[in-house]
Amino acid sequence: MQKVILKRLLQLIPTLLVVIAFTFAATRLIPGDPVAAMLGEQYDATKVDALREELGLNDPIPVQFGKYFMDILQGDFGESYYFNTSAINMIKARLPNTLVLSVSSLCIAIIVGVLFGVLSAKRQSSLLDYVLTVVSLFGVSAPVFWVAIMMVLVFSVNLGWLPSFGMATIAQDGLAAFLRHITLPCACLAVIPMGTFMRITRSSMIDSLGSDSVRALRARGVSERSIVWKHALKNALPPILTVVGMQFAGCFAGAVLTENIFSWPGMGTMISSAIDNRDYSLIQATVLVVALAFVIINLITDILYMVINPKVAIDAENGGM
Amino acid sequence: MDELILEVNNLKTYFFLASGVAKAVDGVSFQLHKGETLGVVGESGSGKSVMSKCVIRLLEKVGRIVEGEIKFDGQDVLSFSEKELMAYRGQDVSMIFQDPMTSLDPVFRIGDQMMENLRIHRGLEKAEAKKVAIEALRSVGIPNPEARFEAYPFELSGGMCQRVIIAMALCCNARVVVADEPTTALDVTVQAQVLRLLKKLQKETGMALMLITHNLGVVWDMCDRVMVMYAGKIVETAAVKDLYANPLHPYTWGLLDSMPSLSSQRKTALKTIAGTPPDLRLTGTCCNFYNRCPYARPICTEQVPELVELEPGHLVACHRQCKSETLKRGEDGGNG
Repeated sequence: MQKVILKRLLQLIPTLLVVIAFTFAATRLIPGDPVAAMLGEQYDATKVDALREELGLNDPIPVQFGKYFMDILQGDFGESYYFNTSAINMIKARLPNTLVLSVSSLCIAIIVGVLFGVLSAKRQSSLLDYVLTVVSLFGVSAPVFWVAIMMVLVFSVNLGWLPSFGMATIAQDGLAAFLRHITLPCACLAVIPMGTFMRITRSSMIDSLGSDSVRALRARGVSERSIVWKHALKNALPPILTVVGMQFAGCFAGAVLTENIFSWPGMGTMISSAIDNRDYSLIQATVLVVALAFVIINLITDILYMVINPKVAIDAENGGM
Repeated sequence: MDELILEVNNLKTYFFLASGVAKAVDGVSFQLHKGETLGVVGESGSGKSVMSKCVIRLLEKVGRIVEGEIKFDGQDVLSFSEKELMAYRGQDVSMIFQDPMTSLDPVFRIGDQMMENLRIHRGLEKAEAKKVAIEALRSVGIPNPEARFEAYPFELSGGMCQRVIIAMALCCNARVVVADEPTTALDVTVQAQVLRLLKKLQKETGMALMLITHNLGVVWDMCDRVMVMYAGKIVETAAVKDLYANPLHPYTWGLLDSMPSLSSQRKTALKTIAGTPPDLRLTGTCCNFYNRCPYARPICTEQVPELVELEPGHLVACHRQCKSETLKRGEDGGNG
């Protein structure tokens, strides 16, 4: 297994190289000019040129890329033009907020989604199954921004139970305030993954509950509870894990919308303002961090596969993966 | 005769399909005694497997036992609660399925699966269960059982997996083992080993064995009594040596004739039974075999033949085999 993990870690290198090159190119392709965005109304041709020179934007693109790449190798992700601080510091300040939001919403989505998915599969074609199928379908198809606005309308505006925007920290504002602020964005971000988990869990569980090995377990007198929650669920996990990995990455994308709607000071709000301001370094650094997270999550998913089903590890060592 | 363990009386199991009611098992009765091996033969779709699933109450949802009784040790199996069923399955009656590779949970170690069974059925603690399990693995002839205990099913061959399943039945002291084509998925050489193992364990433990197969050679080697099934009904049942010496039902003749033999001339084609089994949704008004039977008479299409005891312990259901008439093989132009 160590061999496989090492192999996968080495495969990370080319992936990250491509990501670096791609984000560099993509930021350069955004229409608009960072200097114009920075100067705003004080736009002045001489200033512009001086600033461009200072920021290295007058260099040919390959030279810019070379400098950027060498800086990254030294752990320097550049300065945010707009906030006048290093991009990495900005990310350090914002990343935990996004992680709190996405991890908690993902946990809720996993617990609720898997639980309902299993129940749905267990009682296939029952009323409960139909109701849960409709719920999951709603979860998958409802657009995040619409859900967010509806939630604000109902819980903040009409009922007045929860604040509609902002974040509170446990250290400064206490646990109650923190929970009140996180509830809406977290619920909103959990809707899509929850629906997805429900659907994948249901179909994967139906497969594994109908398998010959489950029939054999029943014939051996294993209790239904142990069959469903231990044997069948463990067999059904690999596709669920794949989707968890993908949805975790999806949470970062969903965070851009959710954080903007609820004014949550995370990576999502940061990257949208960075794009607005053509803040090249910050965009690049943020995308790189998100991509890194994505790749690492995928690696963890693959390792979990091997833990769940050791046959995967053997196959992977003999080629594969 | 030894003590009676399992008794099935007039069992009828129907499948309620959208297109009609299929009579998968239609009035089957038999008894199984301690230490006895009962062979059940018949072609695919004759109801052998459905009957065995009824015995451990593991029928698919569309199937329902509509009539009859199943008694284990005098208790009514059909009235068991879910909890009683859990104890009954695996502990009283153990089932061995056709494909050993899919009979074990692929993502748990062999040892864990065995220990789970021992915990459920014998209430053993972990350390004790491990000892019993390893001992059982040893007794079914698995080399290096301590290492196999830690193995996953995919690391074992089919024959080894089947041994593990037999070991599970063994360590829960199952009194009846129902083996549904236990060797069909295995290599020929391994088949013989597994069957010999079953026979040996049966001698040691006195368990009763119900062996479902379509291999008549296996029946000859293994069984004391044999039951021939056709379209959900028993058409003939007898002690094995009686059945081979003096088979009575035309279907049994057909089965015996369709066995390839090493001594027969190479150029002769293997005999088969012409036609296919009847649609199970349409059976129950006549002899199910009439359309394939070279000896059929008008009565065969009008009445269902009763199972009649013609010789002690030898029962047959055929209109032309009764006290007043004895049909001989090859008579009136029949080629059976």
